[in-house]
Amino acid sequence: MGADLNVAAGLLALRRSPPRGVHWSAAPGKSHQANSRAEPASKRHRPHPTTAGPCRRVASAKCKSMVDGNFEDLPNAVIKFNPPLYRQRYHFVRDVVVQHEPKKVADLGCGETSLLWMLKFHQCIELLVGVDINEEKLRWKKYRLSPLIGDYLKPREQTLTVTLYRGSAVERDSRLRGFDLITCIELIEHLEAEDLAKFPEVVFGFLSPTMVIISTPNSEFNPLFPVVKLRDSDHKFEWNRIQFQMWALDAANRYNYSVEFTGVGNPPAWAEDVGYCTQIGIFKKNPTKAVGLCVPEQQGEHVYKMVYTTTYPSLQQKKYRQCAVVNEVISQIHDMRRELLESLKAQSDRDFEAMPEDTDTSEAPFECLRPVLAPLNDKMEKIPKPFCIGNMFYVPLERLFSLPKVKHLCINIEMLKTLIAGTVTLNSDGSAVMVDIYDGRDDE
Amino acid sequence: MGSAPESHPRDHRKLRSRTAGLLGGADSVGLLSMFRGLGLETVSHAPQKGKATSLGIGIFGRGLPTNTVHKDKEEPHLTFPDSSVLAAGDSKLAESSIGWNRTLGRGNSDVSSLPLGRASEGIGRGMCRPPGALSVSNQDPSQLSSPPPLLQSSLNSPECLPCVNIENKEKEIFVKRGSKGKPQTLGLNLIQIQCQNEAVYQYHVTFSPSVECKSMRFAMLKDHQTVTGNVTAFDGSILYLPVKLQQTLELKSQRKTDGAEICIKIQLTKILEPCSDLCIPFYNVVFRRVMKLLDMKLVGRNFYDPTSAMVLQQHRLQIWPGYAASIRRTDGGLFLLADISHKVIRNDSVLDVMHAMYQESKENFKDEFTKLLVGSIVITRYNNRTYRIDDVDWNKTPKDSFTMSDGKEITFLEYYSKNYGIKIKDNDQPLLIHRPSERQNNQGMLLKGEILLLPELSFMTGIPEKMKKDFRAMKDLTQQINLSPKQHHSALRCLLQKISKSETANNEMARWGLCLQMDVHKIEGRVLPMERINLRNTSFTTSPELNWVKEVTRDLSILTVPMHFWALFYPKRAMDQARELVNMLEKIAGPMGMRMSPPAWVELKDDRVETYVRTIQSVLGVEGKIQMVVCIIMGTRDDLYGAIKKLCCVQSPVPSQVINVRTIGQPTRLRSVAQKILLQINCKLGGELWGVDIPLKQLMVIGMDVYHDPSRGMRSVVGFVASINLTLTKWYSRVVFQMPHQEIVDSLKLCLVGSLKKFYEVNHCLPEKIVVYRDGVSDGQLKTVANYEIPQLQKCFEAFENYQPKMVVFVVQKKISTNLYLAATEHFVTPSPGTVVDHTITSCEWVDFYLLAHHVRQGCGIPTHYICVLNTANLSPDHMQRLTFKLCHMYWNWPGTIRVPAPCKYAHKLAFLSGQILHHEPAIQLCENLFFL
Repeated sequence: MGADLNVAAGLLALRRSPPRGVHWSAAPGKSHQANSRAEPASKRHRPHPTTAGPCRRVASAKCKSMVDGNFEDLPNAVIKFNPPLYRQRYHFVRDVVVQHEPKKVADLGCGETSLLWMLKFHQCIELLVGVDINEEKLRWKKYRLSPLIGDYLKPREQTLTVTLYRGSAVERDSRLRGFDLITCIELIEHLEAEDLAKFPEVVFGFLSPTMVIISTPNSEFNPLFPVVKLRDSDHKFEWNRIQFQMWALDAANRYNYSVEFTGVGNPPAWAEDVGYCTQIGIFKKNPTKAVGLCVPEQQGEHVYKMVYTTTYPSLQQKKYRQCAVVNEVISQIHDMRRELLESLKAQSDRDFEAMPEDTDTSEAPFECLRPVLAPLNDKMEKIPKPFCIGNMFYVPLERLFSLPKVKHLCINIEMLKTLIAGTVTLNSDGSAVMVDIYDGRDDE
Repeated sequence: MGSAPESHPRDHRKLRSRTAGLLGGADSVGLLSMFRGLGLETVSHAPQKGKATSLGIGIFGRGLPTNTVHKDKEEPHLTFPDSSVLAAGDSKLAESSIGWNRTLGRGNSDVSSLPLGRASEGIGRGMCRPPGALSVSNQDPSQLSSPPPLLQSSLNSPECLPCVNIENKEKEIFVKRGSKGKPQTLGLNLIQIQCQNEAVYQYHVTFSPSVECKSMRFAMLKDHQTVTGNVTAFDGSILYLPVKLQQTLELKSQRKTDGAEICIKIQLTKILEPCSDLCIPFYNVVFRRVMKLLDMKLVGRNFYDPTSAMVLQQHRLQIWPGYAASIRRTDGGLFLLADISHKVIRNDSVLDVMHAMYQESKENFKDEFTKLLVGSIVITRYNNRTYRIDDVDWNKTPKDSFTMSDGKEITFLEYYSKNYGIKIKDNDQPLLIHRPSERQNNQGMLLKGEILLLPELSFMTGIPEKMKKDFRAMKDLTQQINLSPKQHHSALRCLLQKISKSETANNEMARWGLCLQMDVHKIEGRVLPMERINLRNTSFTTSPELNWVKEVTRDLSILTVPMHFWALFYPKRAMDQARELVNMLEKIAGPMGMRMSPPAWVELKDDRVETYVRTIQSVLGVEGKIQMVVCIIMGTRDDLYGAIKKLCCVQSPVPSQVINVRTIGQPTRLRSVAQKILLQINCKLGGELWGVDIPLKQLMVIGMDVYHDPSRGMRSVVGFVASINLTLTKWYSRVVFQMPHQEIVDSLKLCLVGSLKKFYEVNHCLPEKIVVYRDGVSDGQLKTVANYEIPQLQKCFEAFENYQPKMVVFVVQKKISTNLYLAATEHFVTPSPGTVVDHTITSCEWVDFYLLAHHVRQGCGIPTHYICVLNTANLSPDHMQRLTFKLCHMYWNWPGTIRVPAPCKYAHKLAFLSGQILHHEPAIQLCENLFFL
């Protein structure tokens, strides 16, 4: 995680962060003096996402920190994180997702759904759930989680359902059981003591996901901020490293998890020993022999209120798979036909030169049962080739099925046939697609 | 922070479009961002410094970029004279529609004393609005006390005198209703909106000590929702509420950063009518949310439903049905203008298209691909945005890196993989370049630079150029997207029902007291009387379908020019067709009164461009008196067509006619094709086909249109066509090439003075009245035309002694989304040609009318909007409407009425030919012929 920190006290220190997943007993990495800002903007080109995506996210998330009153990323703060700390936290989660490829992911206390928004692009995820107690916020922000135009144009391979619930992290809703990953980013410090006590039991004991990520402020870092209070007026507590680790280890032991500690937001060089600004615990469920604990997930209480749910278009839906197959098939047939026509044209041009007094050769039906396309390789040699009868051009389904993209989309030739039958014309025995050689060439 | 639309005070258009873009973004701040825009809009009406220079450029420079996308070429077949077929694609993208730079508002503080006087003045002026009067009313907002000074000077000053304005509609009374013709009940695609709230209250909010950060201001105000209610619209300093608060409110908040106590003061500044112009922008924000609630996707400015996509696999594209809808205020009150829109999107990514193109032609592949891409709109896969492509960077690949906003370097490959989990498959593809128009960030720094896109992640929108030329494919497409009035109407009703059934959507509207009617609005329009068409010896009243092809091919044209010396160029392969054509021409020439001798037959050994050019050149060189060059070419060949036209219009000026061999290949259709060719040849030689009665005497009619080069930053071309005889059957034409940021006026003067001189030559007097039809002007530019362009044109009259003609200027808008239906029967049908509407849907600020002049074969009746921006001739509404209708009969390439007045269409063809094909001004020798038909 190339997380940098700039201290606006004149010296710009660029540090290399310690490797992720290290126990906090290890000292942070050695500091480098590097002039990170003086870099000339030699590249004038921006890809558009820099203006569209990230920048805007900064803006909206800034609102978030304002609303939350959290001053970690204030514009005129003395200590500045680059990228902003909230994004470092999200990037941390994203990297975990990329590494472990969980299918079912839930974010407790998802707030304005920024983390979910970032995660929904990842193809491995099939179910993405956000839970927050603020229904208004969920309602306002839900549209950013709806499928994009591009999701319809290029549907995902696997399904994706995004669901938002109004609810609390200490309520038990069976719909969240058995997930691969549950994240609680800057959540626990907002819990009252009573709820905090219930939290491990609900998250580890009841929901019992394969992995849990919990982040919370590290109070040892606070003296570096100008106001030595809690970072947010809604924080009920802020723990130092020992406190957090004690709590985490206790929970992990009780529910048979192992835990590693790390964090994001490096301290400045002159205060290395305060540790990361945000401390993170990564909990992994220990493999158990008896899986008997696993209750069928659909049973039990549904206490959360569903605010929003949407299913993304994917190739798992017949409509989109069919569309993709037909698109590929037609495009391949066009290519094959074009090659054929080109070879024919070359032929007819030669003929035309040879006999200038031509007699309308193009209209004459020609018999060319011989293979018209050069084989790609030996393997393709064995597969039936396209052929012509009269003015019709035939491409055997077997040939089409040998194309990697088509093969990927269809399990067998029968499936290919079913999917394309409605859109293209098949020959009498249904073994080949037939098209007119001159189709589309002789317009009015 | 780069997202807040901080902007130039002058730049209304851009501001507006950017705001729209913002709202489209998946993570925009919704209402709030709208209001950032709104606040600035108010600022922008502070004295418009440098108005003259900046505005003058904009209008001809890069007025309506998307407008040109679908302009048709020289019509190869006369079946689509008005390109109505093509308009259905993404041309709808161009509709600006939201009328929100009308904020100029006539609300002012000292209404109590003013309205009477001004109103009477208004009546006195009637519809005649001399430019002087206009500029006075234009300054009003800045002189009067209310919003702009408040915003600028007293933003941070805690003591600001409370001054409440009750906005009052002091409206000039325009006389815009005519009476001629037969009344007819019409349906409109407008839905009336009732405002149930009594008023909207505008407040000014001050923070002391001042709070710089806007988002912090939003948050602080949000803390006081118990006081303000949760229905707010706030831009950081101006707050709109549907409720009235206590006169002045002082609230306290704690700044979270340093614990400082901030005093928030909310003062009422204005009480607005609920349908006030100032409210329209946030009503539109509200409506956009309604559409989102209905699960519609915002693309550009319109909403589409991708789940109902129609896939045309054979053509490799899909059509998304949707709506273009916006709230606007017209003479009849507040309306939702809703149109059916279809988005055409390719199934393939730009990269796929590129590969296919490479397969087809490996030579010139890069040039061809660049040509195809430049000017087209793409949608990117990972966000809901559309971009116009300006260039292709062949030297860059996704392996190159760029600098992110935090200053870090990252390759495109890494960026897309990290942020979107997208693995780029082709590492060597070139990158597409989008050059955004100049913008400023909030520090006032100019943001320049390009945006680079990956072909693999982009999809092209719009109908492919190749497909547009394919008659059969277009038929497949138009079947899908051309709705009959009945279908159109039921699609609108479906939208209204969806809204009314959705509780959340209804609530969204109700928060601001907005209530939609359950069906479209109906009004009474008129059908103008049919016109008489005059030929040389006969005249006749037009048929209800307004087509007189029979008459013009049977009877003598007004003036025919004998064609004794002409040359016919044809490749050897087309010898038979050439012979057949000439035989046919000789047969049909008689009835039209056209005398012609056999041509000089010039057979070409092949059909290469050079062969044509060299042969034509040599023939013209030998035969000095060739009147007409006719070329037969094999198939549609843009390069050859261009080469012939360049030669005959620029280098060796001579009228020319290029004929695609396919059009004369079918014996059954040869007769009618030959007739059309001969009529066109006669026009090009200086002949006159038909006329209509023009009661106005000493009249000159001018048409102006602008062609924009698809690649941005290129020059624009102004076509200028003026009538030079009393029957409006002789036309003088000029072309002006115009670099961006270059003053147009001098060259326009040249055109006008030139045509006045020519008029004098022909008639021995100067015209008393000049009527200008000006195409290519958007709503936001109307004031520019009125305040800047017209006075400059009027200056030309000084070139003549004691010459002060009366002048009428119409802005012609044909890309509008207003639809008319004939509501006489149970189901809506297409209205008859000649239908005019001059009330209810008309503008509050101008004298204007809607006229549907052409016969609609397919789809709905989209009228043309005529806005009169100057009328010193005191033409009555009836005169305006009938003169316009008459001129729609006068386009000689089509024996029927067309959508716009003939001079406009001529100017359009001229500008298109010059800009797209010739890239040069045509030779002056041709200026009295309609050589560009």
